[in-house]
Amino acid sequence: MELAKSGRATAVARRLLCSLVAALMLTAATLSSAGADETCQSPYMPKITGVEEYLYLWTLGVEGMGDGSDKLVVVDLRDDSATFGQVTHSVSVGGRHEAHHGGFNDDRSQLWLGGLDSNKIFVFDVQSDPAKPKLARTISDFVKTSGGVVGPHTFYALPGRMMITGLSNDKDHGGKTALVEYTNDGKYIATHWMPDQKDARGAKVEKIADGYGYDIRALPRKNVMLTSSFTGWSNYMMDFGQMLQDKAAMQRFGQTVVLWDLHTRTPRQVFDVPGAPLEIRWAWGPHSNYAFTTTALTAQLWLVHEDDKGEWRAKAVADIGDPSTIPLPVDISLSADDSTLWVDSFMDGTVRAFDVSDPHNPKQVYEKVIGKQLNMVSQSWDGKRLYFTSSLLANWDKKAGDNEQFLKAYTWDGKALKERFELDFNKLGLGRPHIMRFGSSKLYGS
Amino acid sequence: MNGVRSRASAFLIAMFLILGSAGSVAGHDVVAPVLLPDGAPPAFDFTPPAPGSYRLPVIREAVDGAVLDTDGQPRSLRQGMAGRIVLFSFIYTNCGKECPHATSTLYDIFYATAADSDLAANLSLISLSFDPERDTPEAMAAYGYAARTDPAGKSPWSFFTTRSRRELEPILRGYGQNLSLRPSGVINHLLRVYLIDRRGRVRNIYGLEFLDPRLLLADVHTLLLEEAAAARSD
Repeated sequence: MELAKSGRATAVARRLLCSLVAALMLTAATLSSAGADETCQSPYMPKITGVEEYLYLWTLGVEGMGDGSDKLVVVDLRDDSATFGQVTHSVSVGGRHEAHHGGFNDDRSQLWLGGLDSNKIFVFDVQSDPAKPKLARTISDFVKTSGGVVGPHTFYALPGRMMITGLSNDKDHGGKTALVEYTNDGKYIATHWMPDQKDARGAKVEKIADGYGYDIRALPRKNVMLTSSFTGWSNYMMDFGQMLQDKAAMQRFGQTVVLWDLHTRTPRQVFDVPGAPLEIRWAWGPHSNYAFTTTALTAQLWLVHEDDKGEWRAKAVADIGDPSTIPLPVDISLSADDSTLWVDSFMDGTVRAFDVSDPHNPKQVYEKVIGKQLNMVSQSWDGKRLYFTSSLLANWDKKAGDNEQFLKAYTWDGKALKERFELDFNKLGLGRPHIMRFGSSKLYGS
Repeated sequence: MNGVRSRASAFLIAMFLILGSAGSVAGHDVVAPVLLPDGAPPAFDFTPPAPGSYRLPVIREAVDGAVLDTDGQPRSLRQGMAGRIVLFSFIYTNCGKECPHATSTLYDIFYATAADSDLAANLSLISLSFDPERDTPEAMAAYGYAARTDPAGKSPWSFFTTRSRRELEPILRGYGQNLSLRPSGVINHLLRVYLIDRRGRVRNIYGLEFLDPRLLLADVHTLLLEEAAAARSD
C-alpha cells in the first residue's frame, strides 16, 4: 500500500513528533491528573493515577433491608475529609435487578451499571458532580434491542461506544450469549454472537465453542480482545446450594476463552479453558502481549499469551489455593507495573497475591483472609491501596452468620495489607456491595 | 514529495513547539501505559484486516454545523464533507498532546491519497478546532499550511473553526465530544477521529490507542467497496 512508503518517509518525523508529544504529555495537565484507579479499566479511558476521591459501589438490594432497592453508594476516600471512610451519597434505582457490574464510558463522564436479572442498564452522570452521581438514563429494552441477549455484565469503554458482554439469552436462559455495542448516548449499534458449536464464525476452535460469555478486555496495540465464559441465567439466578446438587446445572458452565479481532469484532480462536474462566486482565507493559484469567471451578491461574512465532496460546500456570477445596477464585487485579496479581476467592474469603513478574511462572507471595466471603478487589494505580467487597450474587452469597456484606479498605506496603477502614453494609442497611469504581473531581475541569 | 512531507512534518513540529502549551501540572500521562520508555507510542503490531472483509455498522448521524474556513468565510460542515467519505478530527492548535498525533495520522493519509486516485476522488479530511477564541481562521490557515499549499492530486483537507463557543456547542454535543477547560488554557479532551460515510453517518470512531493510518484507510476502502456492491445490486 502506498501508505507504507509514506509511513516510512515520515517515520522519523513522526517519531520525533510523538516523542515531543510524549514528553509534554508526561508533564501536561490531563483529563486525569495523578494516577490511581482500578488497573483493570479500558485502555481508552483516562486513569486516576493519583489518589482516588470517591468509591462508587453498585449494591444489590435486600428485601426487608433499608429500601430494599439496588443502589449506587458513594464512599468518601479523601484523607482530609471529615467524612473519610463514610457513605456520603446513595442513589436507589428502584427494585432489585441483580446489580452486578458496571464501567465508565471512554471519557469517564458516565458510569453504566447493569442488572443481570431485569437486564436494565442504569447510566449515571459522574462528571457533573463526582461526589453525587445522578441517574441520567435507564435502558430498559436491552433484551429486545440486542436480539435476545440477557444479563448485561461487563461494560467496557471503546471510543465513543460501550461494549457490553451478555451472560445468557432469552430463548433457553442458558449460557449462549453475545457482545452488544451501544453508543455513549445509549443507542444500540450491533450484536456480535459468541462462536458456538453450530457456528464458530470462522474461529479456530481448540476443543469446543460453547458460545458462553462473561468478561471482555482489549489490547488495541495488537488489535485483539479476549472474552471469557461463565454460566447462564438459569444458573446464576438459582440458589447456590440447589445448583451444586443439580448435575445438569453443573454441566452448564463455560470452558472457553475467545480471542477476537478487535477491529472487525470477529472471533479468531477459541481456547479450551475448563472450569469457568472469569475476569481477564491484560498486562500493561508496552511490549507485553499476555493476559491472565482464573477459573472459578478448577481454581487455576491461566495465561493467554503470544508466543515467539506470533501464535496465541492459553495455558494454566498456577493453582490458586488448594483446588480440591473449591476456593472459587472470582475477581483479580493486576498491578500497573505488571508485577503483582491479586486473586480473590469467594468460598474461603481469601485474597492471594502472586508475583507474576514472570507470567509463565507465577509464585504466590502473600495471602490474607478478608472475610467469610469475598468477591471484588480494586486497587489504586500506585498499588498502595486496595478495596474489597463481599457479594457475588444474591442467590449465591452465603447465608446466616456467614453472610457478611462489607467494604474493606487496606493499604499495601509490599509486605502486608493493613486495614484502613471497614463498612458493614448489613448494619448500614444498604445491601450487598459488588463492583467498585473510583471517582475524582480532578478528572474534570470547569 | 518526500521533501514536501518532510517540510510538513517539520512545520507541524515547529507549530507544536511554538504553540503547544500543555501547561505543567504534576501528574501522569493520561495514556502512560501506551508509551514506550523512550516516549514514543508503540508501533501498532498487527496486520490490518482486508478491506471489505468486515462490516462497519452505523453508529450515529453526523451532525452538521456552522463553521468558518481559513478565509473566514462561513461554511457548513456538510459543505466540507463535499459528498465524500470523510475523516473528521477535532483539534485545537495549542494542544500539546493528542492533537498533533491525530494530525500526523491525517497527514499520512493525505499524502497516501496522492498515489491513490480513488481515494483522492472520494475521501475528504476535516480538522475542526474546538477553541474558537484562539483558533481564528488565520490560526487554522497556519496550522494547515503544509496541506493547503500542496493539494494537487490529494484528498481535499478543510481546516475549520467556529465563530463562537455558542456555534461550536451543538457540534460538540452532536459528536459527543466532551471538553474540560482548565485555567491554564489547556483544553482537556479525549482524542477522537470520526469516519463518516457519504450519507453523513458515523461508521467508526478512533481513539488515540487505535489511530493507525493503515486501519483508517482499510475502513475507507471498506466503505468504498460497500458502495460499489450496493450500486451493483441496484
